Amino acid sequence: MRPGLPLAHGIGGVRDLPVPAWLFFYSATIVLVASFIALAVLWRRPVLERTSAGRELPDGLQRVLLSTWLRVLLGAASTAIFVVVAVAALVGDDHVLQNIAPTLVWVVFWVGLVPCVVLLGNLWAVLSPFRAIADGVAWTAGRLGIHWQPEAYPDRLGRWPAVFLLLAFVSMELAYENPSDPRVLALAIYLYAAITWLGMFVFGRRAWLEGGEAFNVYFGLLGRISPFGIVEGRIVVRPPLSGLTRLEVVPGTLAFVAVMLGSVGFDSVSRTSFWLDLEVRLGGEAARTAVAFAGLVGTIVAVALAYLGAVAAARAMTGHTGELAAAFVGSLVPIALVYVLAHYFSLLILQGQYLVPLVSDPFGRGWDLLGTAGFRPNLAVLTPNVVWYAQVAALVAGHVAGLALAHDRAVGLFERRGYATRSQYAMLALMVLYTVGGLRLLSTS
Amino acid sequence: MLVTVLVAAGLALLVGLFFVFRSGSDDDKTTTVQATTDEVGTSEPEIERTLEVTVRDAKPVGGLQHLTVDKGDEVVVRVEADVGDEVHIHGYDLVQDVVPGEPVEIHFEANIAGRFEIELEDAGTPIAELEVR
Repeated sequence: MRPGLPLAHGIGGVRDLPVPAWLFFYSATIVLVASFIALAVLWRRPVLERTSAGRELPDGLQRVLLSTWLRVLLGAASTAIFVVVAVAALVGDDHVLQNIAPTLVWVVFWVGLVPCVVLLGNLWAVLSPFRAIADGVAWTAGRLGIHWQPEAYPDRLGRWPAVFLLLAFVSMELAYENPSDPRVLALAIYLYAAITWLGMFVFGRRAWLEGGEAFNVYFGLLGRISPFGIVEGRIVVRPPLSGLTRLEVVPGTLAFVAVMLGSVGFDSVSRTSFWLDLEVRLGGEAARTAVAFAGLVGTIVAVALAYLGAVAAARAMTGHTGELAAAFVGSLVPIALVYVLAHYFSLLILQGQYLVPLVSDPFGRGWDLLGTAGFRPNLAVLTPNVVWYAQVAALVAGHVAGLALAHDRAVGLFERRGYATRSQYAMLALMVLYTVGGLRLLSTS
Repeated sequence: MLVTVLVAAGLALLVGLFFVFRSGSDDDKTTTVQATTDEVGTSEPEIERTLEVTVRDAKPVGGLQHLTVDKGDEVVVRVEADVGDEVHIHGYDLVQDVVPGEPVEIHFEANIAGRFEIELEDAGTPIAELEVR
């Protein structure tokens, strides 16, 4: 017997056992109790918004962390890794576990970077090889005396290009049958790189990174949860979450967050026995992909509609006539984060172990560069209890964080306290819906 | 003051409920364990569980087949198919060829907890689901 392809959803062959019913009911109770306590006792003036400017790190540290040489060094390192991935995907072994590209993309980059960004801020802005290579090309062109003026990025586009690119990426992850196939991954990587560099060439590097580079937008949003951020070119320390109060809600932001939340939600749906049964009945690959894509888009739309419904209810209850939909988008980001953590925690721990043998033999050529090629991952390292408690704790923490952010926004927006509380009934109901819905999916077999 | 009292009361309530909820579920668990291991006589309990799947037109007869076993059980997956393909057990990463008319059997110890898809690799069709608790 030889090892097979542990595929299905991005990568990974072990699905978590459903959270037991008692734990589901218990955690749903926590969510309700926490929500009622929050309504009664939370602060009356915006706290997060006021402290979001943060305190600057000492000058010496700023100079080192923001220095050109550090940026060049990190850019060179990330470019080197990017080249290894791009080459491995194209010409390495076509087996998913004999090739470093699928594990680096689906486990290290897509899942592993999330906790790092949440702790340390948007590292992808510094590590992105797309940006590093573009910076290098621009610098060289400048040296050679070549200059060009990028087009003005239309304001109404906002983050919409990033929305569609993220949707394309999660569709490949969750709707397509073979997302870990190295050749498929190669096509995706080259296509995405081409689009990104074209966007940077036409609209300028900065504009495209903020509105079109899906991963920079993704990690940028999650990075606002972090206590570290860059404000006006200086690195600051601030209370966690407060960065989200400074989110500029340009067009497409709500759609982007809806894709973040809805895609993980759909991944939960598609792992249930119900969905597997449906797939079996459908038979052909094309039909399965089409139905999965429809399910993915449907989940994203449902998430967005639930939000817009809650906003409409808040508007009706407060008589507020201004723009409210944009005001509370930031409070969904922590919920999107904990969906990801709860969902991919075990994947990171289990599938991440395959990186150890793969770094010694990235292309599947039988090499043993670091002497770790013979390492056998231990897939029994996590007990179901550990996974369940981690999942439940993450979802409940995300619920509380989302509540705190929405509340902070509401007391900032509505001067009369009664109005702030009234606007929060609808948001509270929405957060309970998202959290209990997420828990329900985790507990469905 | 009100804040502290409310938060403390909330926490006390949650801790209390945790034990109420959990002990309720423990009772269920012990009864199921007794039910499944009642005929254990030797020091090493070896329970063999079989999952049988028949495949016609690249689909499992009767829909997706399910089997739930306890961690440590011996599992036999027997597949009889009317097409040539590969049977793949995800997670455990076991693969075996199957040819029409000749059932294939895969024996292994269920030592990883979780849910695992069993798939006809070339057709890409899931045929069964194994749950190891």
